[in-house]
Amino acid sequence: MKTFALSQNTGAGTPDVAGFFDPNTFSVQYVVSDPVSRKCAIIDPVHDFDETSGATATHHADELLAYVQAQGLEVQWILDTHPHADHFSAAQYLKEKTGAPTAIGEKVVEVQELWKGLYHWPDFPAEGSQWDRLFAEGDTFRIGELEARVMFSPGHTLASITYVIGDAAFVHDTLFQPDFGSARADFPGGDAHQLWNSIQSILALPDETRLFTGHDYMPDGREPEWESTVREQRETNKHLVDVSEDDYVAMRNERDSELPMPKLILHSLQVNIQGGRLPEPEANGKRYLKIPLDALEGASRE
Amino acid sequence: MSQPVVTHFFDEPTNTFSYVVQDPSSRACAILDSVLDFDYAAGRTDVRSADAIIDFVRANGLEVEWVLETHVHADHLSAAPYLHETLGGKTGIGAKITVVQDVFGKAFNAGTEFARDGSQFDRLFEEGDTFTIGHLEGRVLHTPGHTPACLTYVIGDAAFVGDTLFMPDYGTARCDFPGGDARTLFRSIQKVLALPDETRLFLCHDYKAPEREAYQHETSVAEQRQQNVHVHEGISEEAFVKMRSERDATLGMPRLILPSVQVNMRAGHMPPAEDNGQVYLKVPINTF
Repeated sequence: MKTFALSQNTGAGTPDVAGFFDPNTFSVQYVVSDPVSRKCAIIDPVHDFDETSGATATHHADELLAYVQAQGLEVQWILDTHPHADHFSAAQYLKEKTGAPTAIGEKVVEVQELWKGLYHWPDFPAEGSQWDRLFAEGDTFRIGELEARVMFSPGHTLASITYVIGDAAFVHDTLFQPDFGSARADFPGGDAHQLWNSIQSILALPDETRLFTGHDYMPDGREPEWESTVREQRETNKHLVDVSEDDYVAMRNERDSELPMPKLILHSLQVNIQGGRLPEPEANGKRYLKIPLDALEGASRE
Repeated sequence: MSQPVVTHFFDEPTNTFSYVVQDPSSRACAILDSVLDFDYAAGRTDVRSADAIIDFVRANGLEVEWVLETHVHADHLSAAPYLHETLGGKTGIGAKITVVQDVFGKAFNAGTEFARDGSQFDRLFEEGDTFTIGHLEGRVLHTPGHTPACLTYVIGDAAFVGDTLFMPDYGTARCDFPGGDARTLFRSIQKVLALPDETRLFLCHDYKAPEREAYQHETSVAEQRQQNVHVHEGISEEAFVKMRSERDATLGMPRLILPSVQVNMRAGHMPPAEDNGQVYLKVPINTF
């Protein structure tokens, strides 16, 4: 199975994009680098977790670090597009290893507020202080000489953002590859109308913008893929071609009502709303995740 | 010998058989190894499997005298409290549950409200203990190996062997959980195989051996002695222990082990709610 691909820069002001696929969670992680300054950002890194045994591991994050080292890169940012529901973020682990600042969308505070109740953490500071920077729509930052810009892209979660870096956009859970469609919008805080609007904003980027998605589920057994263009998505995305907003919302809601919850949603959110930190140990020195029973609304049966 | 009427209920998501064991000469029955449905991803429990048993008991006008467990299961949550509350009867499990409670009480850092003395059950059975289901006589064999607390219930001509033997074409239970031991399992299995040849053996699980189409839950001592791929006559203790240990090293944990043991060590009761009224299970990180 293909688990790595490098998408070369397309000229001045555009990044090299290395994609790393995690077959356990179907997630794609990225190292986005400025070919001139050798500065880079890591986007959506995965902290491995086996929910059966409760074991964590850093194989995938270490693979990213090995690549950074082998290519002589310097990590300037550790970015998440949203608080993920299917894997643990390795942002905190990578911050400890590299010292680079972490960031996510500012609306993460609303996601924190939402899940703080479910996990019964009355003292949890739902203020985003777990990250070094919170991005709002239109915010800009730099990776070496590369210009990066933030688009607010809610719908899958109410905090999702897209990072536009040169001619590349990291759209995570909005659009998937054209043959798979789009992300679900039924998690707490999700909304199919908002997702449609966010997708329209992404499709308004220049035609040749390289789009890098956050997941690939390999329809019909094909190899993993994660790169497309705005033009390809507009012309061939199976959820979008000749589809109106109302049709899309109806399709999305109907489809979502049949999907089981991601197997790690209850495990993941408590780590990811803490910026990728595991829970504090109890008095016996062991760390425990909490699984609320019969609390998640709207989950369809497995 | 008296012959109980045995009705099986299968839970395909966990490959578990639950049983209702009836005395044909009265309305008395026992329920063994019930299942509480659990969707781990959503954290959702459901009683549809237990309700199927309740419907059966009511439709047949039965009176539940016992709600029994062969052991603390690691692959599904027990519905014993729900059944006990709804239908009555006494709950029972092996006396060595205290060993299991001690190990998992520590692993889950359970509070002091969690007694490690088996007092969550109405009766703790030892090797050789007897009990009745109407006019049927039940007898207990301590058959550890899969766990330290495993029992086999011998009721008339039927034996409920829990996780010792599986169907002859599939073999035996794993021995690599905390407190499990392959040599101990081999000796426990010899006890079961020393029962009369025609004893009906009822299994706790079936995973369908390769090339078999249907799930099966019943076999006999004679069949097991002749055909069990892991322990048929002629296989030595040493050979079994070697095979079992090697095979266990290749097996993944059951998907529901962490949710299951913390509930089943409490006789199927959920951990106490936090002060918001919400119940949480715990997932120990990097402990198992």
